[in-house]
Amino acid sequence: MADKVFLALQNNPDAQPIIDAVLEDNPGAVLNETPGMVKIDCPGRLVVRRASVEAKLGRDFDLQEIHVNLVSLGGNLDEDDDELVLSWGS
Amino acid sequence: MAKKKLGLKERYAALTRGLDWETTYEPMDEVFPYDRYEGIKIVDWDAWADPFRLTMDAYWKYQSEKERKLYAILDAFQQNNGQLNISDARYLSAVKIWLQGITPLEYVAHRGFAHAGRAFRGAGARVACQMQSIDELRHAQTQLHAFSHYNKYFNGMHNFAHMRDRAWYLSIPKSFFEDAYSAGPFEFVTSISFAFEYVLTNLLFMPFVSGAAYNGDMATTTFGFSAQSDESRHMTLGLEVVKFMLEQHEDNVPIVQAWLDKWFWRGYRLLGLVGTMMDYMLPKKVMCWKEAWEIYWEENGIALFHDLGRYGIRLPKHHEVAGKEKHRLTHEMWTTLYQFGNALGLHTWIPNDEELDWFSEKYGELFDTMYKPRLLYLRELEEKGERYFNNRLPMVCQVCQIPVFFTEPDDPQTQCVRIVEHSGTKHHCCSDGCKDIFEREPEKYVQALIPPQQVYRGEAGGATNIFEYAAWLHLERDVDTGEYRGSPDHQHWLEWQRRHKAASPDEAA
Amino acid sequence: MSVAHLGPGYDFPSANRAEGYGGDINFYIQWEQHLLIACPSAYRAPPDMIFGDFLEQLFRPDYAVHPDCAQLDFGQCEWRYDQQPWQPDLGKSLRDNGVAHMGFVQFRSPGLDGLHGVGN
Repeated sequence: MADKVFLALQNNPDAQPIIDAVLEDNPGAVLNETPGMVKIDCPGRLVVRRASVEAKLGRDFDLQEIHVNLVSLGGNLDEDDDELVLSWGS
Repeated sequence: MAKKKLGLKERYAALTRGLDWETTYEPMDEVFPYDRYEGIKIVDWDAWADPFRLTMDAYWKYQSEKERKLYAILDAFQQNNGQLNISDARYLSAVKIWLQGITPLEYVAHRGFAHAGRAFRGAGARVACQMQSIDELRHAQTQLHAFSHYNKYFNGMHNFAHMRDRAWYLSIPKSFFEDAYSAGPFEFVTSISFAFEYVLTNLLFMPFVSGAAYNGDMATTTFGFSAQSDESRHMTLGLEVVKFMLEQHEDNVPIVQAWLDKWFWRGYRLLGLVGTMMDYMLPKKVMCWKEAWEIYWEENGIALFHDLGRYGIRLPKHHEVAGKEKHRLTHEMWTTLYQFGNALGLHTWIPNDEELDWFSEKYGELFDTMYKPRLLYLRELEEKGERYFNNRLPMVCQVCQIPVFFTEPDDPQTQCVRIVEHSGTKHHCCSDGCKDIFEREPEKYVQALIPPQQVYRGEAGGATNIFEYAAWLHLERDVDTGEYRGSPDHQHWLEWQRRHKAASPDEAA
Repeated sequence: MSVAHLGPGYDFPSANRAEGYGGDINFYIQWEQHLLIACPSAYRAPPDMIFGDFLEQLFRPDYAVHPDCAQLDFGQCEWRYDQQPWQPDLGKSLRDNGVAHMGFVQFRSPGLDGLHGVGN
């Protein structure tokens, strides 16, 4: 199985729409909760889609807003206006 | 029709491309004298990219939003006497280590990145270092603000900056960063952004800070996660700088590998303190050091090295030793801190029965046969009124500056000591990892000021024993130092809890 | 290997060279299989000090916490110096026994193998 990438966010109401969107958009994603934060692990690749977060939020969302509630991540990162992607492997 | 707003990639390119220039009055090598001597060959600086593509305006916008959130919570914490809502005052020992040992590192990192930013001739790298330098200063400041509230109520936090330059256990983090920022800019960024932040700080800012949340420390939790969101940018840049070096020239590969070997081991040794904070200083437990190591290194860290395999990078040397030590590291470290407690600016104690059971569950047979009887014996001494303190200065590792308490990788009953020699003087190392680091750059490590040796040479304010030494650190005996049980911190805590319960009819009943 | 550096010559004396000790030496000792005492201990002593006196006057009080310490007979121990087998003469000085600055003395005490059957 591919090595896992991960995204960790603060466990608060602001981050919830992002968490929900990530879990829906990444079928292999697993949510691990510890006090104060959540860590989402996913084999190989994980994507945060702006459109999916906006659908949950009901407003415009700039992907860079994720910095406010981001805790940590693992994986090669690539970000543009529409997607933030974490991946291992070329 | 007017052009649409620039996209993220275009905005980042506008910030980092074409704003710098080739100097003409002075040669570039004179203007940037530090970015070549380490042997790293850069063909195209424009290949450097920040994957987050953060521009200055976005940086200020999100950082200020983080600050507003953080300070709203710190205000609430202070106004509502948040110090009374932590799980137990023993928890403060972890806060003290953080303030004394980690916060000063943030400040040194600020200076280091300011220096590295000046040293690189590529604009992308300079922008990245500038942001990180500002971040690190922010971390130092927010931590001091958060901890200043605890300083009103608990001992040992009154003189951290003075202690940082003198205390034996703080020479562990101090020497780590001084090793890094006395190196060239590429090694510095590899050591801090990559090896330390990407590979290792997750262990501090994730399981430990989550533990702080679980123990009711809203202040630490909030700045911890706020800082870690900066760290995730730093980590991303750390990985980027490593890939950048590896992609620029094949001659860079062995240099980078040697740095990864060195800084993995130095970072791992430093993290022994964090592991001990998690296992012993969090009264309510989230996960043990062994579990955290398995998740954040064996799973996430090794995944990263697998990914770098395509550049010819292998796992760092001695990583398997860390795997063997995960069963014992924190127990060995705690009994060391416990016995040298007369020279510590925090309290130590023997865990209670419930905690010993938790260790048995998490660490199994080795804990039950070796460390539990050791701890119970020390408890027995304490109950007889003979609380053990080791007042004889220890042998200290010439590289990591940790007292030499580690045991052989395959034999937890035999201490591990390695002798190294340079220019006719012998030195001691705690492990093959530190020995390798010494032997790669002996001229550097022979200059290390090793605290017990400073004392014996008369360079610690004339102190001749551990009590005079502690006074030289500005630590008041049995107030700032020593056993937790019966300490002023403990007595105050009991009194505050008594008053709290007296005010609550349900609990008083 | 050596340190990558700018400019000529990167070489500095050891911060802990013998000259810093005013004629004394700084050396280390470890009682093996007695991990209750967490680390080898560091000492500063004059090289003329009789090794047996050092052991009785400095070392033994430091290790009195260990229940094995009261029965410890230094004459029955197995010694190493800088990790090589070594046979010190307890009646001779540190210097005459070859204990030098930054030397590392280790010993085992057969029959006194630490606590709990695990060298504690």
